[in-house]
Amino acid sequence: MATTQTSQFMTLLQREFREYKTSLFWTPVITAIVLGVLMLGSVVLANRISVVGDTVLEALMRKGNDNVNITISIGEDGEEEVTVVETSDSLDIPPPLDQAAAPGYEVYVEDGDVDERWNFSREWNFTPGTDQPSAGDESDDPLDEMSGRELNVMLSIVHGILLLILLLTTTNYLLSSLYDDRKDRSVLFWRSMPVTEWQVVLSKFVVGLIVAPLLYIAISLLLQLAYVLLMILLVWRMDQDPFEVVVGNIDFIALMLDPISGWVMTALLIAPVYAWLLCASALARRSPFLMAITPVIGLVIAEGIFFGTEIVGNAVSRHFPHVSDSSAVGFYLFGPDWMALDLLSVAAGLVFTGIALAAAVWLRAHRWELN
Amino acid sequence: MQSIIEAQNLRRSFGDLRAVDGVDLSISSGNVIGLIGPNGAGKTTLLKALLGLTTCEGDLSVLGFSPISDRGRMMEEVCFIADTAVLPRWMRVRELLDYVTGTHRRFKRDQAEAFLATTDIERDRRVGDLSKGMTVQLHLAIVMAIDARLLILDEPTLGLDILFRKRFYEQLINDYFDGERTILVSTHQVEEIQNILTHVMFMHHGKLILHESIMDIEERFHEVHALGEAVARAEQLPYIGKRNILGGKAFIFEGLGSGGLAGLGELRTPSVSDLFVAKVGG
Repeated sequence: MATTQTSQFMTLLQREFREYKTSLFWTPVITAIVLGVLMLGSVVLANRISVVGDTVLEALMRKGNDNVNITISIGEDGEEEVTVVETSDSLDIPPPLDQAAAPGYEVYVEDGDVDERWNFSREWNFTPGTDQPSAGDESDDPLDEMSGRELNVMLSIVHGILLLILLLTTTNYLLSSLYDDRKDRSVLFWRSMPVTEWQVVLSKFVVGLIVAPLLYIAISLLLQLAYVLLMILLVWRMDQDPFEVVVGNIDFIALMLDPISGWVMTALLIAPVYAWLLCASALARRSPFLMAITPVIGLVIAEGIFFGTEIVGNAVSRHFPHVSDSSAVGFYLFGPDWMALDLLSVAAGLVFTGIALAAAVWLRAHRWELN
Repeated sequence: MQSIIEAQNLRRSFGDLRAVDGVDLSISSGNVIGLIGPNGAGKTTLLKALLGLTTCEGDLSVLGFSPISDRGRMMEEVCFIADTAVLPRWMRVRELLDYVTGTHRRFKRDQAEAFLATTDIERDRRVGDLSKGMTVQLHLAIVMAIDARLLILDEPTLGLDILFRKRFYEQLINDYFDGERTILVSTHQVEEIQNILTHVMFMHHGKLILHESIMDIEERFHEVHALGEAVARAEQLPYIGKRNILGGKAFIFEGLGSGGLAGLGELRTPSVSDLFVAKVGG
C-alpha cells in the first residue's frame, strides 16, 4: 500500500512537472543560457568590452577596502588594456612587486597629483594580492569575510538572479495549480482517479517548496560552473595563471552548499506563504492573485485602524521573500545565518502552513466548482 | 447480485431550490440503468453526490463506501465520464496514459493501447488538438481499461454526431459490460440507449418518479394506437398520457392488463421517451 502511495505521489509530481515544464525547467534553462552567452560574449570580446571581466577583477581585488577603485579601459591605441588602481590611502595595498617579476604592475596612491591620476598611458598587469586581511580592519562589510572566495560573491549574484525568477515562477505556479483545472473543468478528470485531495495538494506544495528549487539550484550550479570555466578562459587570455587567480579565489564547498542550506532556511520561512497561495488558488472564483493579496492587505489595514498594531504586517514581513537594508528573507546568497533564525516565528509559520493546506484540501473537495 | 448503491432520503438544496429531494435508491450489480430527466431535474447533482463530488444529506453508500469520507478507496472501483471535454487539453495522449498507469492500479494499459490502435488517435498528439469525438474515444479507452465495478456516465456523448454516439454505446456494451459491472448513464438521447438498458430511472424536480426494470415496464405500461372511433373509447379509460398520431391518438396506460385494452387498437410497449413524457407531462 505504501509502495502504491509512493508511486502515485511520484506520478503526481511527474504530472506537475509536465504541466508546468515551461516555468519549472525551460525558464531557468533559458535564463542560464542567456547569462552564459553574456559571459561568453564578454570573454570573447574581453579586449574591447569587458563588463563581466571588470566585475571579475573587481571581485578579485576586493579586500574590504571601499576606497580602492579599479578601472579598466581601452588604451588610446585601441589595443592595449589599461587599468588604474586608485586608493585614497595606503591601507592594504599589495606592495609593488619586483619589477623583474611583474614589470607592468603599478599602484597609484592618490596624492593630489591629478595629472598622474589620469595617466592612462601605462599598461597594467594584474597579480592577485595576498589573502591576509589588513591589520585592525573591523569593518562590518560581509565581503571582508570572503577572503579566498572572492569569486563566490560574483557567482552568488548569478544565483540570486535565478532565485528571483524561481520565486516569481513558483508564485505563479502555486496560484494557478488549484485554479486552472477548475476553470477548464479538467478537475473532473483528475477527480475521477483514485487520488485523495491531500495527495494532490501536497504534491503541488512539494513541487513549489522542494522540487522546483532543487531544479533551479542544480541549473544555477551548472551555470556557475560554466562561469568559472569562462573566467578561467578570460584570465588565461589576460596572460594570468587561471588556477591561482580564479580557482584560488573560489570556495567550491561553499559554492555548492550555500544555495542548498540557504534554501532550507528559505523553505522553513516561506512555507506559510506558499501554503496560503495554494489556499487562495483553491478558493478563487475569478482571480487567484487578488484572492491571495486582498485579504492580507485588508487585514493589515483593518488591524492598523482598529487596533493600531502591526502584528499581521510584521508576521508577513518575517515570511515573505524580500531584501532590504535591515532584513532579508529568501536571498541567503552566502548561506543562512541559523543563529538569527526566529524559531517561534518558524513554528508559528509551520502551524499556519498546516492550517492553510488543510483549508486548501477542504476547498478542493467541497468548493471546487466555479459556478 | 451485489448491492452497488444504497441511498435513503438523499437531499441537496441550493438556496430554495431542492436539486435532490428525498431520493431513495437501490441499485444492484450487473445492470445498465438510464437516468432520464429534463434539464434542471437534479440528475447531475444526484450523480455528483454518488461520486463524492458534492455533499448530500441523507444516507448514501456506494460499493459500501461513503463517497465523501472514503472517496479515495471508492474511486478505485468507480469510473466516471462527466462530460465530453474534461480531459486535460495540455497533456499528450501518451502522458495521459502514463498518469492513469501511475495512479490507478486497476488500469490495464495494454487494453487501452489496443483500443486506441483501432482509432486514429496518435500517442504524441495533445488532447487539445483532438476532435471532440476523438477525445471521447480516448476517455472511453481509458475507462474501459479500468477494471471497475461501477461506471457513471453523465451526458457522455453530448455534442457528438450520430456515428460517434452509436459507436460509443456499442463499444460500451460489447467490449465493457460483462454482466457483472454496473453502468449508470444519464442522457437526453434516450432513444439511442433504450435497447441497452436493463432499468430506467425518471427524475423530475429533484424526485425519482420512476425506477423500474425494462421487463417490469413491459408488464406495467402499455401503449395503444387508437384510430377512428376507438379514440373516444380509449379516452374513457384512465390513461397516463396521450399524443396525436396519424389518423388517431396513442394512449399510454399504467397497470391495466393488456386484456382490458384489447380491441382499442394496436398494442405495444411504450418507448422510454414516450413513457417519460407521459409520466412528466401527461
